[in-house]
Amino acid sequence: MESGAEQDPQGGSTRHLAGIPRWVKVFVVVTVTVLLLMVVAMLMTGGQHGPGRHQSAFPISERTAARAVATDADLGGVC
Amino acid sequence: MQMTPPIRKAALALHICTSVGWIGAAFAYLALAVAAQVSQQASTVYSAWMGMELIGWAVIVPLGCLAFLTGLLMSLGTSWGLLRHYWVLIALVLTTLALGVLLLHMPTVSQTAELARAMSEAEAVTLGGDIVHPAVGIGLLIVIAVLNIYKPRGQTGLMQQRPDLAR
Repeated sequence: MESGAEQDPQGGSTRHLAGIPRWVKVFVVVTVTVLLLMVVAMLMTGGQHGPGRHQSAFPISERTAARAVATDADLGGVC
Repeated sequence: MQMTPPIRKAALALHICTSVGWIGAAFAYLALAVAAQVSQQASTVYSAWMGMELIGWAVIVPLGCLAFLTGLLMSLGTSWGLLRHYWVLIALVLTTLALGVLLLHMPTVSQTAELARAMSEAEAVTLGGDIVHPAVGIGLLIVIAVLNIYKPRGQTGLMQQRPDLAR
């Protein structure tokens, strides 16, 4: 995979020039494809995901939210 | 700075243990997530979410952080370098991504576990699980492990290779 290597005129050591190996190209193509498929799948299932979701409140009903607040108060807000 | 052979071996042992432990703990989390998803018993759903929160914070997060830090140590303290080889660079990016998503996701898991405690049995069985995150995470970690084992050739050219450290 190191076809980009050439002889250093200063000595016998080899110098590796830029040349992206084939496995890296395949890896990038597969990764991008998988990511695109995941994005499409998320959009088709409602699109309720993304970095913002990790920082926002979990979607809950008002009744459940009231219970969660009550539980938090019972626990002294420790959790 | 290069590590001496005894220190390098100790760091490698720690890196392998924490990395493999991270994968194992992620599988345990996935098992609980599947249980929470498919179970029709509220007690199972409660327990699964409590277990996911506990495993997440007490096992997965520490192991993930340790695996990341020991990976950095192994890269910077050996001839591999951090940016010199494609496989190291890709493993670094994927590990950073996995750890970042984990740290961003765990508060949501805690929040959901807390909600599960406050729910009635009828509500709890509709809570569902958290299968996608651990499944994708395990996939990423396995890819990283394979890269670490095979160490495919290819240098980035971002750092000059020192002749005395050549592979």
